[in-house]
Amino acid sequence: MKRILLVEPDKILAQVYKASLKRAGYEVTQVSGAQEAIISANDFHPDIVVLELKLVGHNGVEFLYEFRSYPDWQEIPVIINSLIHPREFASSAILWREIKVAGYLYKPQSSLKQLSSAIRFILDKEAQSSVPASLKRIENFYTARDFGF
Amino acid sequence: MLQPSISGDELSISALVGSVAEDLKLPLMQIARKVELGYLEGKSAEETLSDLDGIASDALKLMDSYSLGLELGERQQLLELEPLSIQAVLYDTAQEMDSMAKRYGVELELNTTGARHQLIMANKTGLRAALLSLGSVFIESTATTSPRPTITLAAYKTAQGIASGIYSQTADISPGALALACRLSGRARQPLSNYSTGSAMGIYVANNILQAMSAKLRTSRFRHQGGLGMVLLPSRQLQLV
Repeated sequence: MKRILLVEPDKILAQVYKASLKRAGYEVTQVSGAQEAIISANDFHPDIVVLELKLVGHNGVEFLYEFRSYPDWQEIPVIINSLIHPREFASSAILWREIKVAGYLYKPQSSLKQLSSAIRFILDKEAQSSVPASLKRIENFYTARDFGF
Repeated sequence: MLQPSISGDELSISALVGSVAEDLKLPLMQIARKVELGYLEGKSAEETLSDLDGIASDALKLMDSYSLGLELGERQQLLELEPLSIQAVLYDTAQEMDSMAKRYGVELELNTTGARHQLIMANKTGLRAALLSLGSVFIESTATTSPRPTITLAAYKTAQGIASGIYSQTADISPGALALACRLSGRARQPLSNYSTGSAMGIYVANNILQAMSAKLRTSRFRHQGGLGMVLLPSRQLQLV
């Protein structure tokens, strides 16, 4: 069973996302902040991280810089699921090249189903050559290609 | 213990409305995702609707508070004051906050032993709106930052008057941070980033409402808990027996 580290500060959304992802067949650990996330990554060994950028204290970008500084975690895919619109990072190489974000969902417009599909897409390396139909229709899932990176 | 009050720069209505819209996204997302999860899990309509009703009602109350705060800030008007029981106001506010607190797993405590039977001069609608706005920020933040989240609505006597406010173990907000939060409200994504992920609009709104009552929002402490509060003048006209 694949393991997801869910970094989500809002308690209500966290409960909903966790329940949905568990139903989709994943093992989920949820934390609220950057510091907890680093500790959990060390204990839980996630296969993928789902991350909100707006956190208390250190924000999600700061977390990612630290996360990527550990050799064991450099290849773990990270999907951003954030209240911040991805257009704010459209011309920024930071997310796509430096801290290697695998995909970006704009949270207000992304459903639970879309999140599950995005995770499945990223985790399933063999399926990456063809984007699932549900993702092709959705404008809110962004990858590096969408921004020319 | 009370700290000097804050003042904020004038802010355009459009920037404030933008921040309010950002704050409104959260309850709407909670509703949308809970409905979706309800379908996925085959929950009964009653179960799902009861959750949604709470989220929607709390969001509407908050929007009313925000409307009042923004309008007062824009028009710079004063609210009419009347003698009020601070104990009753805090009790009523706690009742209004209760559903949101339960949803977030936050325990609410009420402590007015230091100001029991005290009457203060305030505007009832304004004071409840200010406390509700502050309370929503505290509930969301404390739920995130504390393993056993509790917030306290308290009132106690001071040399300057009756101090009242909202406090928690994790609300270690300095006067500088509060001043900066009010200045950055509507401008920065997270004006109080060490305490809250949100726009801190509740703090800005509470401050506007209190200023309309000739009071000011300040950082303060209550029994080893940090928080935000105000000093209200006692009513000299009536005394409860």
